[in-house]
Amino acid sequence: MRPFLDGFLAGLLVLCASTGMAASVYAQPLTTSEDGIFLSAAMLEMGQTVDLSTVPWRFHEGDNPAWADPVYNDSAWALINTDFPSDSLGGAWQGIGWFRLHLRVDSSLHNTLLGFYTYHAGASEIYLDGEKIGGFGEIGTSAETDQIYIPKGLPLTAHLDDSDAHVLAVRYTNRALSPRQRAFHALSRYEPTGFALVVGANTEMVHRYTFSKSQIYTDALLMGMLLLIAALHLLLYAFDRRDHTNLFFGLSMLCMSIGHFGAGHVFGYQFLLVDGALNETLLFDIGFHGFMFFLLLLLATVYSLYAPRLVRYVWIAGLVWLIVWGMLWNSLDRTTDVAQILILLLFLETIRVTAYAIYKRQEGGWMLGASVLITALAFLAFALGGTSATAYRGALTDTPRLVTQTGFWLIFLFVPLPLGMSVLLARRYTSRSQRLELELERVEELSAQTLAQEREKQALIASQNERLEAEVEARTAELRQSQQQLVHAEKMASLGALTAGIAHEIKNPLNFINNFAEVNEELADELQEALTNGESVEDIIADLKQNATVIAQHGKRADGIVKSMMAHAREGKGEREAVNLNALIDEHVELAYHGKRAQTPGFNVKIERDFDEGVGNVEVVPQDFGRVILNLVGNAFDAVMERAASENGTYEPVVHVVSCKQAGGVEIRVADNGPGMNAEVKTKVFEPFFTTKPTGTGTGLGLSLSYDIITQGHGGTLTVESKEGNGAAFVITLPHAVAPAR
Amino acid sequence: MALKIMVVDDEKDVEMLFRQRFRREMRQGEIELLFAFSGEEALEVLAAQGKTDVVLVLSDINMPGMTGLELLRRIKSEPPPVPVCMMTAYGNDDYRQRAEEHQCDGYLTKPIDFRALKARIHELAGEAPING
Repeated sequence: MRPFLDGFLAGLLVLCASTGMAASVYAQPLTTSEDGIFLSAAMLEMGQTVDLSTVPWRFHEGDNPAWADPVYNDSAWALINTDFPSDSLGGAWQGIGWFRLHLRVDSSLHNTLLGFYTYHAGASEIYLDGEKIGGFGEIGTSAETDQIYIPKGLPLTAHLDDSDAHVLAVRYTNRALSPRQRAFHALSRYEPTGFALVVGANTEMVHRYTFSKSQIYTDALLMGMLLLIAALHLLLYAFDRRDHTNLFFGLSMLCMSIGHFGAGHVFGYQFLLVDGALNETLLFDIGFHGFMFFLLLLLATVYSLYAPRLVRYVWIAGLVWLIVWGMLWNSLDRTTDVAQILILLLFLETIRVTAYAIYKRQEGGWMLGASVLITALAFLAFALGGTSATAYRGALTDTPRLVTQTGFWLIFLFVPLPLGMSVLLARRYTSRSQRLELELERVEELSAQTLAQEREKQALIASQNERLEAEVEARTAELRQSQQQLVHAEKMASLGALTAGIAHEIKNPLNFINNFAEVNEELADELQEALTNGESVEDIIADLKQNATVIAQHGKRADGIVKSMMAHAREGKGEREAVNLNALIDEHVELAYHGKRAQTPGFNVKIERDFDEGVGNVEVVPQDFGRVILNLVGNAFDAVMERAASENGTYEPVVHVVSCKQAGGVEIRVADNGPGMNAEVKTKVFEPFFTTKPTGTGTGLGLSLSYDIITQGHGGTLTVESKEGNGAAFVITLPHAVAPAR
Repeated sequence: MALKIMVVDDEKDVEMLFRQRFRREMRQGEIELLFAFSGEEALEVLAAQGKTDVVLVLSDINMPGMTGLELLRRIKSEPPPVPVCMMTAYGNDDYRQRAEEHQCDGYLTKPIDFRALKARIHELAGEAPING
């Protein structure tokens, strides 16, 4: 099987041929006679050359400088074509041999300059009419010392004198080439065995040389473009490492560029092989791998775009390829066989995935499909065309056009895919960034919406808060009002408890007032009677006076009672004044006692008063403090009565009221020997609405209010000491310097 | 013979009031007033005087120590039965009920209507009211 890349490049040429432009120019028929071939100026007109490999030459194996001599009789030599296949000479011929060709020219070519150019893999020396005009490569003494020709395209120039017959002699060395050398030379469009000598007008040859050198620029341009694309995509990858597509494609383009450099028949050997920096073997391998990895990475790119999970198989394929390449190092043909299969598979797979992407209407599927199709067609054309020997042969004679056409057609092979892929990726990025922009817009919209909702929510919460606050305020006001009502009710309740006692207290003085007034009325009558009768009136007058005094006295007493009742009922102004605390306590104990007695028949209690005279005047709010005493004493009465009701006559109810001056202030103690209270009651006793009394009899506010009055109103303390079954004692302490009322 | 009436009250002015109110009856020897200033004293006086002489006990209820109701109970608990009238500033029914439970013979509320009292005395003494 022909080396694949050879076929590939030959195909490249056939593409040129297929245009029909190149086809018309290379086929200059040569007339051959006994005297050799005939050349005229017309045949070597501008743009035309003659390929001398199409005619038979005289050949003799071996080496003899005399064989260059034009007069040497070579008629016994064998006739062969110089582009002999590798095994046409029985494969045995190796080393140096001579080729001779007789030329006839007409006067049109007298005294002209001819240019010669050759394609071959060996080394050669060219003689015209016995005179060496130059060589391609250098012939050494052995295969090792040969410097085989690396085609550079520079033509040899020879001067034709004014004779008609001329002899061309070529001293050629045919050496065994390594497969890679052969493959490389295949790339330089020449069959590795044999040679082709092309002749043309010198100006034309120089022109062609110059022109062929211009392909360097095409190659350089192509390489540059590929490198640029590679750099671009690698940079894109550097910016966004999450997406490997750019990495794969960038590397793919890099490999293609390298491959092109390696296989770049003009570029590579023009500049890099001159100094032997690289040898053609290495260059060949670079090209080979470059193209292989270009295809592998291209598939990876396509996978990455449309079937990311398959990417790993590309690496496996790459690994397989490297292993095969290593194993088959010495068998290039088999390596290329494997390469062809692999390349075919890669290409088919790329097409398959692309087709699938198009079928699935994936993004950029058509773009990729179109570029893959164009490349595939170009590829296929080159590959198939490689088999056309005619095209190949013909191409050799028309280098400038070939180069131009090739350069032109190369674009079809190399440009669509990178360009298509680049555009695809660019479009992909554009659409992605557009999508991102849209998403960003949406996010912004959403966040604005969220913000608005948040604001709305906050406004709602704020308004709800406001409403709640207002409600709380209203409720608080209501509560305060009901609390005030309760406090008032408590006051009224305690007042009610007093009313009976007060009524009793008032009725007593009233009893005296009314009755003494009536008595006085009678006495007045008696006085008048006595005056009329002339009796002594002094006794009557004394009685009258005495009675009046008693009336006044009890009037004052009633007044005092009313006043103290009023004082109790009146809304306290909360102003503290210095009062005799013992007197205040006594008064309210008395009030409580009378109240209780008035309400409860049979109520009997022993009240023990134990007042410390040292207490003296203390600053209190009299109404408030009085209420506390009333309350505490009243509770003490209730407690002892409760116990009295449940016990037999042996129980003697006692309420003990004590005042005592102390270092920090005053202590007032109201103790009873009632049933006492348990721990639970004790802890709750100062809580509002807590009561142990039957429903309807207590408000549950008495002690709570007392507590507030003492602690808040007077800066004192109110505590309870009690044991269940063992009485209770409420202890008030008042500081000397009473804190300002709130 | 003068009707012996005992007045029990802790307020001293009551004595003066009664003496003045019954001035005429006393002067004419119709009524003789005895005074006690506590329940205990009243019982002592009754014991000393002999219950039969006393036609009526007028007692306050609200007194330190022995209350009027207790006194009533004590008097009624021992024969001979002496009429006892309660004389109180308490107007509520609780006291009246309690007093009636102990067979009180009258319940006068302060301020005392002496005209009614005098009528009651005469009623108890089995005599026609003196006058007014």
